[in-house]
Amino acid sequence: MLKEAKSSKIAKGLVVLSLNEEGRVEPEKVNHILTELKKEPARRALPILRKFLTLIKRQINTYEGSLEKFDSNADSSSNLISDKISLARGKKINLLIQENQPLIAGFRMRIGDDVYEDSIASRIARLKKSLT
Amino acid sequence: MSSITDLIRKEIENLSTDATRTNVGTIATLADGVARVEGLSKVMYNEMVEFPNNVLGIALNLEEDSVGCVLLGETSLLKEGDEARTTGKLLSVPVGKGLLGRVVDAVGRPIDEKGPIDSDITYPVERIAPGIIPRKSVTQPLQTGIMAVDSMIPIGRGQRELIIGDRSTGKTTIAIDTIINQAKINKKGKESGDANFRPVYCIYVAVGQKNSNVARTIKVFEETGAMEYVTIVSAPAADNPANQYLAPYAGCAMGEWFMENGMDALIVYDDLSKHAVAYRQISLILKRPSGREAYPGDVFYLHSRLLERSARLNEDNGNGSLTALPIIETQMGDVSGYIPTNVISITDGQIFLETDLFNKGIRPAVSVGLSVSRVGSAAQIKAYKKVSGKVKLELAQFRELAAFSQFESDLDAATKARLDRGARIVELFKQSAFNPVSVEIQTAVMWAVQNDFFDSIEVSNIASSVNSLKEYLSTQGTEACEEIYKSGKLEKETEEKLRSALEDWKRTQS
Repeated sequence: MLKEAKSSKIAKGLVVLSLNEEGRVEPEKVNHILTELKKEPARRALPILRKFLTLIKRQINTYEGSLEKFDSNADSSSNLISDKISLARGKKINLLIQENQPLIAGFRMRIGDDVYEDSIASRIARLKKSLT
Repeated sequence: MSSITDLIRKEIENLSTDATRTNVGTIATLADGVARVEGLSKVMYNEMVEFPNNVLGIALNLEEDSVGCVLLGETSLLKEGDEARTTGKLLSVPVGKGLLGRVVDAVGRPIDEKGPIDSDITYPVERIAPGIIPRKSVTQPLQTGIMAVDSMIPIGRGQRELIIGDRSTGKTTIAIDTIINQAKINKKGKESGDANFRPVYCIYVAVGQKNSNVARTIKVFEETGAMEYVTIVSAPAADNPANQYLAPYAGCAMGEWFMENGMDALIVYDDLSKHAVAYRQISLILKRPSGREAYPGDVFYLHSRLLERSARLNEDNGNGSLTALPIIETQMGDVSGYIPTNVISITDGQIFLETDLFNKGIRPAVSVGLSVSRVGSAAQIKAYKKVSGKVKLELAQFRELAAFSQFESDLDAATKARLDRGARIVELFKQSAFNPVSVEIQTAVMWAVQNDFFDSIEVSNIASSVNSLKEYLSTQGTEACEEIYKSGKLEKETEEKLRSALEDWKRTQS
């Protein structure tokens, strides 16, 4: 338990070192940290690196999200959604547009742990749930 | 046909078309009915979490990087990497009179194949107990129908009375008898047409028991006609520990509905030892620090927050009550164990059952010395209080003298009289299972003892004589008992009627 907490603390410190002024992960800084770790491996390198990976992913997810639509073509509505969400979150959010045909129409957007959805598929699912 | 289309149209009209926002996470590890979920950064403590295949979980451990969720459904349908999402709701169960006569699981789903539960109201399983201001002291009796309990350890509506003892000493039988007696009283009250009569509705929570035991209990309720006033919440030993942990809280929420709506309810937790074990299992899997006997630090709070929800509310708050009869199983009669001492300190008294007495054939095997009701005679009708006031003392004196008299061959007359009276009271209190006795007949029998009607009967014949007296009083000498039932008092005239009835009975015996 204590060792786990110690690894977590070290990994958090490494994440802080990997960020630029805007709070985004800087690939060069991450490379530098990994090179240094290789030179002088820590006693518990594996759990530290695992935790580091989890935390870096979580950090990236705060400004990079996914926008699922029926087709993957970017259009004005995608830009509008991106602008609105950036405004609401107070920072620039990059949205990766993905194709998701089962949605039928509408969108599903995920940023970090939050999922925003307004699609025909979700409405049908809600209707199904209310009828059962 | 048109009604079906109308129903669908109505659902479509009511359906929200706004974009939804949910908080999601992914299962990182899955073991023993507990999922560790990464993500779910906005989940609330005790919030319901939705997993694929309609499996629900409850967020119990909120850690910095992950959330520990206990799973309530079929865990084999889930795998690592599955998505979990918050629902924004606390776990709730259906409540109301629609649950009477039904058997449900820990989340209020019917398991008796009698169709859906007829209830639109739900209560969260975890609620804050009533504070001091809405409460009132316990004064109204809740008769168990067991003479040894009603005379010496009276229970009141709103009280928490622990039933404690080793395995196979008759703990569940006392609880079942009490429920059967409530059903008998309810039926009699209903027939009398008394507008002020307050029925007691019952909830029996089975935690960690064998399914065969639960089935046997249901059968007893059905055979005695008590089932129409009873709800059974079952989380058997085969159920996952999360359901066993939740069942008492779910049952309590069902009881609270009666209390908050101005009615009286009785809840039996059978048993809280197994409940504590289920909670220990969950806590160990959640990697919570363990303490004495490997129980987590908050095991006292586990039971105190449950039992504090039983209360007697005052008139301004509906005058309802919820009486709790928790059951605890001891090991080798040791009441100083961790869980027994915790629950003893929370409750308002305990009925301690002794293995030795049980094996001697003294059933119910109530230990007079270790049993107590902190409410006392405040929870007895006046007539019963008058005749049973000295019994506990007489019985305690008898036990003490009986131990000493083993070494004495020559006893003085006073000691001999006490021993004779004590031996007769012991026999008098022997009672078969599932055969509760009404309070007016109990009063009459106790009066007969106090007035020396049993002194001429051999000790070995007392049990059969008591049974014949009970039958006589419920068939022929009913007048005095009716007066006790109606007034709750034992007036001079009633005593005279009782004396004449008992003399008539005595003549039939000779």
